[in-house]
Amino acid sequence: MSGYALELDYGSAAAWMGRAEGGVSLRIKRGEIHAVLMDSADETASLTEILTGQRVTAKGEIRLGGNPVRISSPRDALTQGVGAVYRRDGLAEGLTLLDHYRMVSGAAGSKKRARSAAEALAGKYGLKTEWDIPVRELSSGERFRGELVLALAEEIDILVLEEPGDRLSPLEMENLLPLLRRLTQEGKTVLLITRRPACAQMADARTDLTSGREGNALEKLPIAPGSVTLEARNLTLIQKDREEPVLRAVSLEARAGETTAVLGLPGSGLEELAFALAGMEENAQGRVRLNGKDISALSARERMKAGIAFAPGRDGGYGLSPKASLPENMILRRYRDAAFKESGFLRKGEMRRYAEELLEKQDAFPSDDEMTPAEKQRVALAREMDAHPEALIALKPTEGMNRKEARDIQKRLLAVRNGRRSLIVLTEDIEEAMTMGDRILVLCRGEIAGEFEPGLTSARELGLYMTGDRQQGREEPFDDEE
Amino acid sequence: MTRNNVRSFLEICLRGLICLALALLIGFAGMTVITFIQLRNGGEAAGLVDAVNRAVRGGVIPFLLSGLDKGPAQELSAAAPIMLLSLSAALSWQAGLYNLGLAGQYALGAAAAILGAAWGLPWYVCLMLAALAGALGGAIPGLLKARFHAPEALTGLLMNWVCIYGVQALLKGLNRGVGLLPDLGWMAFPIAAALALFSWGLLRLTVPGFEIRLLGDSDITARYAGLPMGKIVFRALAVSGLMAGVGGGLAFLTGAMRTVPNLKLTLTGPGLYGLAAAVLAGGHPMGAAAMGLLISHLAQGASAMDASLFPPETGEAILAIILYLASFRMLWSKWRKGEMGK
Repeated sequence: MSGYALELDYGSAAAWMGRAEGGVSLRIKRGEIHAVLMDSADETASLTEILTGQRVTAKGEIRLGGNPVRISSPRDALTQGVGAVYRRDGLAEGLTLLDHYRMVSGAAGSKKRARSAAEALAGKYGLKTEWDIPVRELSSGERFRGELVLALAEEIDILVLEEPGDRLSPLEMENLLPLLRRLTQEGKTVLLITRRPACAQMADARTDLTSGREGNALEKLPIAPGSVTLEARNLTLIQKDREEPVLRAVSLEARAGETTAVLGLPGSGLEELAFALAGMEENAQGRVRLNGKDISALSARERMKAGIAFAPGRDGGYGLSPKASLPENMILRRYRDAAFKESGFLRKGEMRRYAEELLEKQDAFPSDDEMTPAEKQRVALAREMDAHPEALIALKPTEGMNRKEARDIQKRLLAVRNGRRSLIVLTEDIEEAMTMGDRILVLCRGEIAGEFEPGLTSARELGLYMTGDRQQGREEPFDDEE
Repeated sequence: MTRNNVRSFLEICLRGLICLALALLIGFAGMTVITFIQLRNGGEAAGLVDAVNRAVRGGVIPFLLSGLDKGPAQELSAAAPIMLLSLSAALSWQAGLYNLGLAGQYALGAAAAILGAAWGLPWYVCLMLAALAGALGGAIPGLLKARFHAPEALTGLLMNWVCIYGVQALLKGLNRGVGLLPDLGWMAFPIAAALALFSWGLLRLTVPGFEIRLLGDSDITARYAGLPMGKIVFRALAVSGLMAGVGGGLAFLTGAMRTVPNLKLTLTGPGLYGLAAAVLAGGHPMGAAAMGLLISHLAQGASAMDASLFPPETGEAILAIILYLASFRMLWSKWRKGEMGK
């Protein structure tokens, strides 16, 4: 029986991890908090899938406590003592955490008994969350803590946390550490799989699986911000199946030559805000103005014509149509222009020429029919920026990309700002907001919780506002040791 | 993004044939067993080889080949209605819609053609009336979806009954008249093929076609591109109905049908086969026409199997197996890319 709780050996990892070179080899000792640092969320997701049985390949070996095992499904993983809390929560929105607990613990016995068991378990580890409200009304942190309790309710030896930094603010991460320490003292092993160095810092031991290529720094030209271009006043969005409004009286101003970063946790309303600004949210109320002119009634296409470009990121399919050809995608928003149309027929030749020129110019040519997220984003940005927009709205622009790709996208985005236009970046990534933004607005549960200058704030402070522990305009004493 | 069009067309044909071969193997095994049991029950001392022999001669061969008996012209003409129904289903699928009302539109088209003929109009006018009737039949679910977001699968399906019973009532006295229809003979197939080509051209080369494809591709991207969604839905369903209507018209104008369209005939026959062919072709318009031809051929073969050994439903059962296998599309694409993940 070796001293390792978990060993993983995948000789050529290329196939399932999309890594160009190198295998993957992990040695995790029992009773330690071990961080595995990787390049991108896709890679961390792949590794998690292998460990939890969501993906099965014949290409490598996993050993638990020295014995080779086959993990064929998440249920199988649990039987073998491997539990996980994932990057995206796997809870059913309409049920309560208590319902989930009863599903996990076998649903036998009364509701009351289940609740006391759940609360006892949560209390033992100091995990505070709500058991009786529908999941859809829980905050990101409450869901995470709930899922932790659910995982601990099973008899696990190894707890896998996939990208916890994506679900928790820096402060919540810090508060998590004592709990993880406690688990290891009980003999359990904690595996943090992440792409964030800050998150990996917390661990006792680290395995670095990054490809080690850093990019060069981002360049933000010193520009005095110009006039207000895109302005939103009191944007409110109420959706039928949600009790709370998704956006509450959100107001923001974007200036020329400036990057306005909107930062929020998953579920804070970033996507809805981006879509509302771009004109794709029919139920949004409030005013949107471009260079003083009211465009609230304009459709998405009309706003594009007026000068608002939108890169919807993964949530919007990158603004590309999967089955259409590349030239067709390049003219997606302009297919009615006279240049590409001739008495009802598409001018394919023109389209292809335009697409080739544009992609060459922007160095955005995809290498293959199947495009990676970064390539899709480059193509989308090439298209949007060709229209020389007044304002570019980018929603989670570097989601799912590795460090190098993300840097490249960020550089392209900054070109808009350095060209004295407005750039609005909506992101969940604190680091991205701080490096790209000239001003940072924190969005928490649908409202703007605060406005900051990157040089005058910290990731920690931003995190506090993101979780709603603090709010500008509401001076509450915060009694945590700083 | 897209691959070469010709290549995907051929891939579809290949896939259809592979599904056919597999289904035949399964069906053949079943047919052998049935033959074996039947022979034993009939008191004949029969061995396995005998059973195989009889099964092949009475079952597989007729199934595969008897479509050709009456000569290519006849067979191709008979295939036209199913080809058009398949095209109709594929067209609506391209827009992400499910035109389950095509059987009703088929009936409307047939009725229009019959009435036209009864009034002594030349065949091409009859066909145009059929097209118009089908288009109207498709326009109604289209309008309901565009205006009220009514699911077209439901409205279409229910309209089938309205259309078919309506048509039956309308044509009650005309039974004798049906035999007097002008016989288009060989023209039916070229018309169907031309319409398939036209559809392909429409989708690939024109602006409205582009809009339809975009809508079917991704809802979000359609909104992003600012497509007039209601208008496109209406157009797509109307065109789909048009194709189905022409199919109905052709069915009667070529003398393939001698009775007034009734429920069983339109819903369980061409309508179903058309849908099946479209699924087999993965929604590709030209592929749908090709698969329509294949299925029509097999449908004719199904009725020619040795009735003493095989119940008449056997042929349809095999068609159903083909459809089932074709729906394993996921298996196909994984197989091609050579990756077996989940």
